Amino acid sequence: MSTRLRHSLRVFALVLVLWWAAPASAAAQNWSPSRLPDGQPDIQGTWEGSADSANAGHSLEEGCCDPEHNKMQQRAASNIGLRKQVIIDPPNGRIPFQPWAIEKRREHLINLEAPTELQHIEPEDRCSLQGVPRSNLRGPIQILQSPGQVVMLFEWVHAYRVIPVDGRPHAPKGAATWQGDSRGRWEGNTLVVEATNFRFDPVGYNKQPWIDSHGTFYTDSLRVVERWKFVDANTVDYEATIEDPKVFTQPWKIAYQIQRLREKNFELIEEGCWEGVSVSNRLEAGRIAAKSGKQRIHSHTEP
Amino acid sequence: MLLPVLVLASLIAVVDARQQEPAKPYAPPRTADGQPDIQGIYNPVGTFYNIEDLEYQSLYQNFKPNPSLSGKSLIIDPPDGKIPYQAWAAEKRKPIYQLHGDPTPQYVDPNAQCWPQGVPRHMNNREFEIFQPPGHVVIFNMAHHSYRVIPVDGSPHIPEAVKLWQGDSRGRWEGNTLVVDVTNNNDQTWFDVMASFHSDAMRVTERMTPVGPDRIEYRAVITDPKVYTRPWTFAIYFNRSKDYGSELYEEACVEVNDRNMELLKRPGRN
Amino acid sequence: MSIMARLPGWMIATLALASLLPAPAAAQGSGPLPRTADGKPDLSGIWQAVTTANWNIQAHSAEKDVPAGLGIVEGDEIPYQPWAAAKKRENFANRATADPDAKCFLPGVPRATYLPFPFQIFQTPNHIAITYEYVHAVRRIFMNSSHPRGPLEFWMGDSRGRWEGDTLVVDVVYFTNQTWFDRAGNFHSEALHVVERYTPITPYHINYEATIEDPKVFTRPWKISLPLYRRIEKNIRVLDYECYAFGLERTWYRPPE
Repeated sequence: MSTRLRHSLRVFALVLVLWWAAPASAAAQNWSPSRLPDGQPDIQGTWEGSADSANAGHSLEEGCCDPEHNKMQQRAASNIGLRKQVIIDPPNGRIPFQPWAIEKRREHLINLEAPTELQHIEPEDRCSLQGVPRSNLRGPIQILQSPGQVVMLFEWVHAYRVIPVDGRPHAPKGAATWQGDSRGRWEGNTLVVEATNFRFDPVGYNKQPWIDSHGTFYTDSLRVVERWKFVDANTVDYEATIEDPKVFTQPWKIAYQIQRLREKNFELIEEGCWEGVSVSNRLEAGRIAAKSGKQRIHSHTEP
Repeated sequence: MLLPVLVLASLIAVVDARQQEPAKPYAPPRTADGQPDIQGIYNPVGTFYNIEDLEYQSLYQNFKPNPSLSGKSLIIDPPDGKIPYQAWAAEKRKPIYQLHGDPTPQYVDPNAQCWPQGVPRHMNNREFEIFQPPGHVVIFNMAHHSYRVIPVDGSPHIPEAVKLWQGDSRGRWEGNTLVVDVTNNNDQTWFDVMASFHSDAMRVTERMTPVGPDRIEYRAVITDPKVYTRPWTFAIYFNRSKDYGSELYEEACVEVNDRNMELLKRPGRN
Repeated sequence: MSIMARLPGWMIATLALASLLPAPAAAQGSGPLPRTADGKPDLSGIWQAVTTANWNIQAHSAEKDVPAGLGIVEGDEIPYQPWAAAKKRENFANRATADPDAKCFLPGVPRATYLPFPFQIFQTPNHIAITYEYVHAVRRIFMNSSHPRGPLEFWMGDSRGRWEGDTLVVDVVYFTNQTWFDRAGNFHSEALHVVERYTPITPYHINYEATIEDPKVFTRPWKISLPLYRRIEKNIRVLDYECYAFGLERTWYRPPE
């Protein structure tokens, strides 16, 4: 074999090895999405959190549920906890609450177990909007794009988010909303979204959404930065950094995969949540439990 | 002292006008869109106390009735000058005659509560101004800033289900006479302080004719099959105001009127 | 040889110059503005604002029966003097009963413009009249004339107008101190001075701006702006809203069934 050919073969082999061993992120650089007329990568379609994140919406720390709960809800007995740790920072997978906030959350958990007022019932069960990032954790998400905008339609409680990616500023602080005010930009194949200006009701602690069902609450200082990294046509490495200096001791991060739904002709259905809600039984049960005098907190790990 | 006399004099003139010869036809100038131009500020005598009997009109001026005008009516048809009420309606009106000097709240003139006067009453409630922008005749009242817009562009009436205080007016010019058809009236306005009333089936056909540069002859035929036995006709003149000036002032009525209704609610009265 | 080289020099120069001239003032889309015989834009017709400013002229979240809004105040800040900022907070706390609008009083200027009710503009060279559906409020804008001698206090102020190009500029003074700018308690004194600018931008849209000045209440003038939309429905009319008559209907003279 000639020197030149040998050299080329070696290079070729090296390239082969490097390519084969490359981590997923290198593959992301290689994924070339088709582009929309305004230059955005085309990410349209229906997506949903992968099986790894299935129970994270209930508790980002503990997932769900326990044998008794599973039996009542007709879930598989083995469907307990989280398949994979969703909170990646802090590394111990626990939400870094300030001391006062730990107490507040405990109060939520006690009231969850024996609700006596409407505001004790989990906001999601009362059909409240879920805000960011919780909206991404329950059910299918349809993504639409129009020039300068990414629009996410959520099947759960027919919610939506409009994310302008055209560089316009945030809306005025006075017009706070439950879903927050999102502004996005593309960095390569990663959609980076900053959400602020979340609505906060200081009077009724439970009048606003939670970040999960285990009473993870926030204030109007909440700021969430999401990174939707489209690694290929069907997979998103999703990461969200959550910060609220009034509630947490540090910003914390969640990460999991979101996948494109492959079901043919999938369509979102209407979810008329409030129209079907009935809370009277729960409040009745709660009052009975509260009369017994024993205080229990809502948990899937404690007896 | 002079003012009440002047007002009284113009009142008499209004009443006597019924017996005058018809005026020689007067040709008013034209607006830019071809309407006979009758714009300006006119000064009728103030709201009517009782259109069937002008004896009490002078109560507004010097708190005393004027017997010399007793029996004089602004109604020219029927000839007896009385509103042709159906029997049930005539009965309803009887109590007001005893109470008109000191009415209980339900008998208080709606005009005294700053409510719009309706048609034709808003044509005789203090100064008013006629303004004719293209395609419209607009009448502004000084009294609690009420107004009426009369399109003369041939557009149709609004749906019957909508009832308005000032009704819905559609006008057209027949020569120099503005003929206005007023429908969609509600039943909340009165023709005078003495509760001359109507239902929401009322329809008014007005004819306004300038008979001179400073005078408009006004006729209104009032039809209401739920309340009257036949249509009746109301007639007055408007004289152009010579001393008011060129701009109507704002009269804010309800903003200062709060206490009046309270004053009427003395113990034992409701 | 190019075409340009064959044209006479004067023609080339003229063409070059023509390309530099500004285009005649044309409305953005939807054709030219309708004009009156004296060449002014014709603002006649029925208009209405679509905004939540009547509840709160600044950005606000939703409340029961009150939609959220982004506000109409430029910069979203109202420069109250310190005493006035405290008064505004007091007004806000009492707004359900203290808002003069809740008592059906005249709305004042500029609130009349952004109420959720239509109004009609009648335009002639010497005067422009605006008839509002809400409590039959009326404004007369006398053109090219001066305010009368004061002191005067009108709920709707005294309005004098003039044209600046295609913009109707209206100077309004002689207010009471009784009206609010919105349900949220933003207020003024009788020293209020409002300068409105009505600029039609298409035959169906007017860009409305108002500069608010009141040296007794604010530290500097401030501005609001919002679009006004022409009501284009067939046979549209201004109806009535006799706010202070609701619930007080007379029924004793209703015909028997």
